[in-house]
Amino acid sequence: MRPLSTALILLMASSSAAFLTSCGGDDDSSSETPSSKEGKVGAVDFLLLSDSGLAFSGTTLAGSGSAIAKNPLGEVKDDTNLAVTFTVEEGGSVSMRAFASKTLEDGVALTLSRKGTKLSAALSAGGKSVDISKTFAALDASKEVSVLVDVHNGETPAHVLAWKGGTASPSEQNALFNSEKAGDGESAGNGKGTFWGLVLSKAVVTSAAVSDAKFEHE
Amino acid sequence: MSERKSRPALVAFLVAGACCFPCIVYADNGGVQTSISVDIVGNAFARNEDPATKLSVREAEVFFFAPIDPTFDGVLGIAAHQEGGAALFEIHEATIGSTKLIPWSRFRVGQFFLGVGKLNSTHRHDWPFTSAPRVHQEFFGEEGVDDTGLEYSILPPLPISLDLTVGITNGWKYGHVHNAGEKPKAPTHYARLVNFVELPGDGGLQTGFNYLGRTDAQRTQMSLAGLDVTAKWREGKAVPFFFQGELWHRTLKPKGVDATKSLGFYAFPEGNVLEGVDLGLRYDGYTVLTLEDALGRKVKNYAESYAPTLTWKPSEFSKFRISYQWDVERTNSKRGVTNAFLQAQTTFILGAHPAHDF
Repeated sequence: MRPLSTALILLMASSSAAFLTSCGGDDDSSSETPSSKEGKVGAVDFLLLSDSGLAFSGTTLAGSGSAIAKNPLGEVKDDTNLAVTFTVEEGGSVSMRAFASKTLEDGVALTLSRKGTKLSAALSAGGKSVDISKTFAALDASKEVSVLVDVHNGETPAHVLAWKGGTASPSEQNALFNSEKAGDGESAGNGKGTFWGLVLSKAVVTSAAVSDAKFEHE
Repeated sequence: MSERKSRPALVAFLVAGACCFPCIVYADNGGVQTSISVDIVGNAFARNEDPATKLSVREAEVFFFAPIDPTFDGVLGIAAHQEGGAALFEIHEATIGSTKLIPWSRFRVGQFFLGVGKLNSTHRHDWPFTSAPRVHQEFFGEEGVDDTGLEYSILPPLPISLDLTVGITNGWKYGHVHNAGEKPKAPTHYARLVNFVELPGDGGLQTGFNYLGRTDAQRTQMSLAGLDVTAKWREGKAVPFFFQGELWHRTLKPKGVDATKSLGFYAFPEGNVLEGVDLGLRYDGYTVLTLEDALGRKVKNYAESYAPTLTWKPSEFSKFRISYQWDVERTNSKRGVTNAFLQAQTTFILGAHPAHDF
């Protein structure tokens, strides 16, 4: 029986490799000519959903309107991290939306709005919104703002954490906001889609990136 | 404890029975029995610093089980998990059940790991590998789905072994939840039909067909369909060859949004290479079938993992395991290793141990 088991393990490994190599030949969309609605923010490909007053300039996005990342997050019940750097004019706002539909609706949204040097913040999900402004009080809205946002949509409701951009080892302890921390403000639901994007009002986004969630439960 | 008798009918009955009630022990009027299991896991050399490099007690579980009276059996299992750096105890199982009340039937009421699939109905310290395959993580979580409800199984006296389990549970929570959950639109409901056949050479093959459905408070409909297969051959106490695999399909349909369909599987063949030493290889595959980009173009995606695993079992009460896992992801024409890490695990059991699954 031992030779049999060894052979089966080898068969398993070789068939897996064969399956992998057979998956080649996929479309590579990067070779296509982008339309005027397409551009990059940082290294991420975006598509303008509403272009009245929103435009790409180099690798920045400026104005008012919506832009969706061309590549989906991968799975509805997944976790992700968005890293966004922006400046915003008085009265303007930046809304980061994850696990949203193709119209950037039905997702988990963190919206930061400028009021003088203060940022007011709202977390929206499941059709409800909670004011979480006090957790962003340390950020100066008149300067460039950089944030990291974890959205754990695999949890119910979505677990959302936010840190200052550049935080070395993001954790629950050094988070600006943690939706599971008493008093911070709980998320009211989950995102229903697989897309992420930005909704701007009088703002300039200089950097945007997506990666695996920074915080991992033990 | 898990030694099986050689008589085929008894084997089939015990196997089919255990597969649906892995922690129910048939009343022996022997008083309360206690089983303590400890699962210690160490992670190292992770490319993404996930999992973190450290050794920790992943789980410590205490089980009490006994006949309540001549008709009913009771089980209480509590387990401590690491949560935010502290070990927090929670109820794993708390059930009252009977194998005597209804002919050919068993049932249990209370909180338990749903008797659906292979890994979900097996306690994690009894898994043949250390970490959950991707498909299990996505559909059931890192450990499994437990809930409170009613589960009924029947093994009718047929010429072939067919064991049917159906269950319905609250469904307020499913998977990774840190609060009380919300009242679902449709509670969690599931079924598993298991067949067992003997194979030449003192082998056995167990096949399970599974379904699970639920509609949550946000009207997201979820349905899972799965196949699980377990095969093993025995030579005395040794198991020269063992195989376990599951294939699952999930449809998630949030209200007002297109459905997401995902498919995943794992396969784990394992052979006995030395006395008490087993070498296995787990291969996982996972894909989102409906993934599109913002322009509506299909995104081909496939995530896979390889996890060679070496296990030393000095006895059925202790186990030492080391494995190395590579995670590879492909999106359209891009492919790369996304993570790799080493895991070491030891588990031990003190006291009695409830009946094992096949």
